Amino acid sequence: MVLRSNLTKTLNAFLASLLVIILVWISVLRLGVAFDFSFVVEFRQRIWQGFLMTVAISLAGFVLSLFIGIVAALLQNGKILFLKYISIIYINFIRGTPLIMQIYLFYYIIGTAWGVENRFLSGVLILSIFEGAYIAEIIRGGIQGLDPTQLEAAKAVGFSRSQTVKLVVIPQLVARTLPPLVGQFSSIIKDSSLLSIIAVIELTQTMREISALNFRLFESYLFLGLLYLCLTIPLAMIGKALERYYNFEG
Amino acid sequence: MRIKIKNLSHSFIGNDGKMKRVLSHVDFDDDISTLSLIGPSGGGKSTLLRILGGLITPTEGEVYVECKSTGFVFQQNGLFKHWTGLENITIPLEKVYGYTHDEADDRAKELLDRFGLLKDASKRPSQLSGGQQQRIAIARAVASRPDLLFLDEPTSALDPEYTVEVLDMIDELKDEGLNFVIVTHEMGFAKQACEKTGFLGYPPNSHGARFLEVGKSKDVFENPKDPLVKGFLDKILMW
Repeated sequence: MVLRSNLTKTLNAFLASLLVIILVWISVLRLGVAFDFSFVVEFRQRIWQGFLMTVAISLAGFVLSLFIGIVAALLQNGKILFLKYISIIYINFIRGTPLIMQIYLFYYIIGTAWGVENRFLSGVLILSIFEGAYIAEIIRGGIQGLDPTQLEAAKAVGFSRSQTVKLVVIPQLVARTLPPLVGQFSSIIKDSSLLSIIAVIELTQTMREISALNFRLFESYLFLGLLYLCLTIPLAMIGKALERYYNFEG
Repeated sequence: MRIKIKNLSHSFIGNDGKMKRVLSHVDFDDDISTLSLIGPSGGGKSTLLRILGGLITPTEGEVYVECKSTGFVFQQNGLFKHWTGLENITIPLEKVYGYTHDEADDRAKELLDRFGLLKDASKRPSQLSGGQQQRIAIARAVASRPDLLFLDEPTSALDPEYTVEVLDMIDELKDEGLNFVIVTHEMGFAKQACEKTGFLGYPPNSHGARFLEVGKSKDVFENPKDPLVKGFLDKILMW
């Protein structure tokens, strides 16, 4: 591995950023639009509400999908064949089809057939069903990656079953799954933008509505991107930090 | 210390999904202080050790080990990866043996200090050398003062220099009266440091290993009676 000085790193990061900015700038010039972000102040109330809605949907979606994911992973690893197959069908169907198709499909099933009128609730449900399948895979990978010797060692030092789960299995599972789960949370935030197609007034939908009023498409979507980055970049940093903290697999 | 094994057999489901018999009608009845288990690979040594240590239940037969408490040391990765070396010793003492935190800490540090491991006590296993890991694993296994220690090839994943430091530690504990059963490929250690040696192998036309020879280490190594044992020892001691 080549060790690079901080100066070289900073210089290269700067050059890379500069290139990106120049490319965007040239594209903007070619479009012939003049930047006007004044709508941000004008619509700040709506944008803020959309932002909060995205945060709320993502948080609720993360909690619910974590629950679904854990249950699906346990069923898939479990001994009851019937439930195991249900879990396998669920995970493969969800992971094998696009989210946008699932949103339309489940919106009809959940909304029309089951009568869930609340768009927030159906949005969270649809998103959680989707993300739960990915989380199930993360958890399953974590369970499979547990070293059997660690469980034998737990028995050898005299831990009871519940002590083994509490002191050994869960901490090691958390260490293995927490960094990818943070990454998945980031995906949930981004995927929640697709709920705009069923008119959940989250961040993307808010921006679509605003740009439909003032035709400031370019600025709207640029600003939208920045707002998503405000959420996802800190998460990426947390994920990296957790990865370093839990780096004891060796 | 009496160990009795009566008509013990053990099978498990192998990677190919078929039942595989590793031990077949093993008998043993002897007083031991230190016993080495040697023999060809796949001869069921580790399986027998796990059965004696209570980690697995045999498919058939009976096992009796005359002791109140035991410790177990694995070939590798036996330390809990998410804890430091110190925590690996203190937490079991607290959770299983009812030590207070301070008592556990004192006991662990006493052992680590004795074996020159104190400065590495706050490191996790991944930050330690294989030899340090194994010595901490042994310290953990003896921390609760068990009557009998089981060691499953404690040096076979180590470089020669680390092998020596681990074997030295076991030898030192033996001099203090520790009883142990060790599965090992270190024939010199088996011969010189272990009072008795048992050779596990497959007799002709059999579908599982059993003791082909058991006795004083010196006798087993110098005058093996069983032709298979003799052949095995001649072959591996050639170099």
